[in-house]
Amino acid sequence: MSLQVLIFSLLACVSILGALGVVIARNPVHSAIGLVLSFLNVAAIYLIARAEFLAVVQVIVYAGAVIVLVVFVTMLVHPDDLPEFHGRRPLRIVTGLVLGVALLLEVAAAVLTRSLSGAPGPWTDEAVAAVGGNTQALGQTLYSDYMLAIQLTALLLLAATIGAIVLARPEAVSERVAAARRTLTISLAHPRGLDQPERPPALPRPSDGQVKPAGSGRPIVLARSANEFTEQPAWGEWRTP
Amino acid sequence: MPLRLVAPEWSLLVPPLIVLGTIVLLLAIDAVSERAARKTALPLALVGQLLALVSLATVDWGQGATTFGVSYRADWFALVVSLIALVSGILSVLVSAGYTESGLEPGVGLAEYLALLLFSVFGTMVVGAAGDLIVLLLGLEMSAVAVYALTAFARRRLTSVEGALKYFLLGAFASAILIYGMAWVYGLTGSIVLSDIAHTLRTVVTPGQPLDPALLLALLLLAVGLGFKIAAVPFHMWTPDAYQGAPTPVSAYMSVVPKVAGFAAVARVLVQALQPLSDQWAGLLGILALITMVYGNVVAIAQRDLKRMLGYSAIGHTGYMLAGLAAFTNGLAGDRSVGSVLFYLFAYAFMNIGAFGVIAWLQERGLGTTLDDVAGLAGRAPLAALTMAIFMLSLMGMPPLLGFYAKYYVILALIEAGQLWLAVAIVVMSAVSAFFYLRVVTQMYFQEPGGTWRPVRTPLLGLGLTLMAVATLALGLVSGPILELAQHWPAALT
Amino acid sequence: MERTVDWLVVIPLAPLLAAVINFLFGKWWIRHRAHWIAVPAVGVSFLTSIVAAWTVLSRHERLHQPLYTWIRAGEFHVPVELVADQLTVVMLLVVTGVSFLVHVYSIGYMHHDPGYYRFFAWLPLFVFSMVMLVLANNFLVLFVFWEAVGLCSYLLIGFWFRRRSAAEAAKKAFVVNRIGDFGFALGIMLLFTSLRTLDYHAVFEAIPQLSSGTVTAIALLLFTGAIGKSAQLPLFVWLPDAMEGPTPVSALIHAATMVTAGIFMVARAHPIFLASPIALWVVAVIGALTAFVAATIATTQFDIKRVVAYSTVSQLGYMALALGVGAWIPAMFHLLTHAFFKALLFLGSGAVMHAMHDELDMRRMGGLKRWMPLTYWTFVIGAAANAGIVPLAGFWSKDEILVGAWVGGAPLLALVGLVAAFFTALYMFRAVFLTFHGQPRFDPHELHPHDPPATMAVPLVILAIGAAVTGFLGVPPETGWIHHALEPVFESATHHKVSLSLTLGMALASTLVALAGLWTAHAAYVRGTISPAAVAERLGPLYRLAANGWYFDVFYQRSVVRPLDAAANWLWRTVDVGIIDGAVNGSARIVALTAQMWRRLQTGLVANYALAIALGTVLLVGIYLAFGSTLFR
Repeated sequence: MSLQVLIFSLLACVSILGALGVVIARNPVHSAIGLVLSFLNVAAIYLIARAEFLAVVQVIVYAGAVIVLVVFVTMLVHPDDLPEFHGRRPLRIVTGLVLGVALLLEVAAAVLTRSLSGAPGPWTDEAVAAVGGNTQALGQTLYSDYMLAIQLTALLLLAATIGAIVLARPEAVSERVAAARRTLTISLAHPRGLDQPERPPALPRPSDGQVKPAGSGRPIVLARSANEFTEQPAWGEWRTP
Repeated sequence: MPLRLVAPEWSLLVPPLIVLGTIVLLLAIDAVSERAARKTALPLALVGQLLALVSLATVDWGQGATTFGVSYRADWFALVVSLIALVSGILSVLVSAGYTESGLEPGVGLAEYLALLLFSVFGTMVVGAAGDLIVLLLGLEMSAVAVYALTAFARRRLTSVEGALKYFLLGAFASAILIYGMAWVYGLTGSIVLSDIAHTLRTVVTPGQPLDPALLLALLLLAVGLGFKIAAVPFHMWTPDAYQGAPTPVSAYMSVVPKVAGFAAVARVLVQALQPLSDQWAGLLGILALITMVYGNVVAIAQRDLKRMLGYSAIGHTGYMLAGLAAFTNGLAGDRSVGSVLFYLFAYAFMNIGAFGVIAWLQERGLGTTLDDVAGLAGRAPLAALTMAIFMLSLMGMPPLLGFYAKYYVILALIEAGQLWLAVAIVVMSAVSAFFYLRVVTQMYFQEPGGTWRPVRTPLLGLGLTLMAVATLALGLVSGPILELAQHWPAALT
Repeated sequence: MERTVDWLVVIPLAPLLAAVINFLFGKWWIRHRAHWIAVPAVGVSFLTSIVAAWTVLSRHERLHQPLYTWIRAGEFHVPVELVADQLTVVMLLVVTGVSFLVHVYSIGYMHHDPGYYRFFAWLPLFVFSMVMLVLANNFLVLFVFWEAVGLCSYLLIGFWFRRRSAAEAAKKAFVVNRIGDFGFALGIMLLFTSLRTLDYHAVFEAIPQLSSGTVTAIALLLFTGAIGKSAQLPLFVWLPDAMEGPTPVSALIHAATMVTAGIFMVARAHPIFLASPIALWVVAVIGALTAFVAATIATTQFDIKRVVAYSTVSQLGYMALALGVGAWIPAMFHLLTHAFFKALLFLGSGAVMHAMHDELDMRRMGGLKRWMPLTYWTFVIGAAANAGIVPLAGFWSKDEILVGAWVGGAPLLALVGLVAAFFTALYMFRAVFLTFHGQPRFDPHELHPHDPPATMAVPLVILAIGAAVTGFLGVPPETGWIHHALEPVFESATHHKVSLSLTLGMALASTLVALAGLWTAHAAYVRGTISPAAVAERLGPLYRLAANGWYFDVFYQRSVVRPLDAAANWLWRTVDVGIIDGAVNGSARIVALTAQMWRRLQTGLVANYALAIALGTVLLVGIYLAFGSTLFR
């Protein structure tokens, strides 16, 4: 039993390290590798819990298919086009760290001092063995007790798929659209959605900001403060106030 | 051992199945002929939802029957939530009329738009009828995921995509917290079934005593996750950006239906499953309500963009509704708390979708969405200005409009529960809200018009707006039956 | 005795629908077809009223139809129900019948008005409000529609709102009515606080429990409302100015809808008034004085519509007098007959105006009989009915009021009524002679006066027939049809025995008085044996008193309006601008500043938003774990 706990702790630690790597790594490919690491460890944890079917699914679907997609997309996107999420904002990083640690401590305190624990479910080792193993037991449960959940999940995925397809569908080819696409970059580091000031200040021009030459000749305008560009209409002409 | 497959009680599922069928039909027609879809989609979505609305009458909700084991509950609460979701859905489709053709990208289909909208309505109905945590979560996510996509629907407009991305990222973040909380609840009680959780908790919790820390943690995590869905401060920050960025009909929709889903989830999870912890969560919701209504109403004053202003006003209204939940006393007949919130949501659907609808109506005519754009509207389009004024006054809570009755019942619930301070806060915040609601009215009636005006005909949108304005004016007078329906909730949740 | 029906709602619903349709679609779609919606709607309403009246009167039962519960707040429970008893159906017949004729008349009268659709939206709305007022089953609903009637009158009097005088008159009517309504509202509140109910039936049952002081206060406050709405002394000043509205509106306000509301309300609430002799005495005195004062003023006016308007005030005074002396049925009887001849007189003067291109001054008319025989004859019938000439409608009802006053213990007031009757005959025939007899005092070649078109003429004829024969509903006196019809409503009221000799004597006296008035008018304006100018000269101050409406308007202007203006000005300059604005602006500025500060929290950066969620979570979890859990215990 103690060996099991030891292995679990190891796997969990590696998995967390992998997840941290995803966040910390600057290179997106490194992030993807961290993700694979994390996923594989989670699969191993499933194995310890004797859920071998889940472990296999975890490896095939997540470590396999999902990661392939992630790497695929990463390779397709020019690294210069990727938004800079945490460049030069130390305050935010520190705040995030502090909050994360605080939450961790709080959860730890709650976990360590708790006196409640739920009743174990009906699937004891014997019950699982009686229906022919973990996979069978899982299937039984999913298609009886969780029938509605399964169906709803399918519908949820359908909705998400429709949304994704609609948003990514190629546009009708026309001059206007093509022209529009060239000037548009979305960067969450330089947002446009902001509370508008009572009196709009003098509008900044792109030339006032720092212009970073991008790889494909597409200029990315970096705002110096969050208040810049908020009055600029996202689409169409400048409107004189 | 053979699989035990039990056929569900189909008769209980008729209303959501009709919505689902409408979605399938919409997509099928679109797949066959895009031209046909463009013509038939709107009427189809309307008829489908109307049919679903009518079919609500075929189910006997008083029994509290369940199907799919206990995953799906057809009780009074489910009825009222479905009713509000469908009515809001119908109104949103009316508001979308025209705008989906002209304001959005022509290449992006109407059928998909409406299908996503109906998915969200469907998800909200599922939340209302959820019997366990997983179904509830799935319904909640379905109502949200469709709206993420809808928010980005004006995909060539940067604010739209940006708003959607923010909404999506933060939504995922909040869902993670919510699921973590659910996992804790499962771990501590050994069940995901709402009624079983309440049953188990009753045996381990003594009222008036401090809680087990883990249980409290679970409760708080759930509250945070759900607080995001209903845009309670400080989990609200996506709201203004998403409301402003989204295409206006979508803003109209997302200001109501996901909120309905959120409040239904709050009621199912906190009021039903965690009812033994009501001492803790009622106080928590009271505090959140206070912060939320103060923040939303005060910051709305600083806005010049109407959609953004309505976003903050929506936060303020969340505060009022949370206050209604905080008035929870014992969950027995005569407890008005959840009933008053349900009625509030019902009222809110008409006036808020209406207000966004008027903005959409203005955008059709070539105007923007700022305060300056509505200047002098009364001279240009007196009926539109009147409609907008009705919605604004109703949102403000002016008697005898619908919004007044909604606030009145919440305040009544608070007073009966002895929470006078929240009742006073609502009244004070209504006075503060007058500042920005009335500013719209003064802009419309006492300013000279500016900007270019392009007269176009939008009959369906006009019909929808008229409908909502009349409802806002008149429904307050006949609110009895709806309120009575909403007051049946203790039979469902206790 | 009481029966629940589901068709009573048609009576108010039809005009309401017409109003809504015309209001919503009138401007663009319906335009000059608006009457095709309004007229049939009011017609349907009228027909249904007839059915209701027939059912109620022939079977002696009350009809009622519950609609819905309007307010349910604790013990304050207000169901909206339509109730029709004998009193109600008589009122319904008058309201919908006269309104229907006025609607028909308006088709011709308003034909060229650009606001045609608007007119036919407000007019049915007016009818709807009045019908609901009549059908109400409790005081709150009564009050709501009481106010609605006031609002409609405002809209209609100010129908030509671009004309300054019309806008002013509308405002005046509204404000003066509000003064009365204020008392009315106080009365209803007092009623509720003392009885905890507003339902008619329950209130009347519970009246004996109240102390006489409370009842008197309630009755007097309620009557304040009636003073405003039914234009009694001293709040009658709005009614003559209300002539600024289109003539059909005047007819509607004066004959069928608005002003009768006060009389109806007092009759409806008669158990309250019966419990308070003081209140009854006040009602009677005010009524008699109003009848007299208004009659004298009418004698001195030259504007034909103002003559008719003051005549309305005077006749309303008679009705109030009847109410005050406990002659409830004669009051309602007079209301009925008055509706006919007053509508007739207004529509007749409207026809004259129509022919004379909106000329209202009788000094510039004369001799119109030659060109407008139909208008002339109908007008004469109306005037004679108003003057109380045998055997037209006004004679029977007015005579009964005077008899009632005599036996009701107020012979002095009956004498005042007789004097007023003299003036009534005088001013009515003065108007007839000045307008229709003698030589034309205008250029007939320029104006070409002529009888009105059929849509206007038919209502005139119908009303003339009504004015001639409705009096026979009350024949023989005290035991006529109307008495039997209304008897069940006023069961609780005491009945005086009236001897035949008294009836005959009073009839003889009032006939003589009316004939004397007629003779005087004839002498002054046809034969010329009396010079009106010389009489006016001789009477001097008295004449000027009457000609200036007993200086009520001047008095109000000097003692109320101007001081109020000055006070308001002072309040505005010092208190409002200085103190309140300062405080309000100050707190508004603080809120706005807070808003500006908090606005900065919204940075637009998604990472910051996530941090906010995290911060909220950490804080909530931390605080609750520390204080709400067993963690530190």
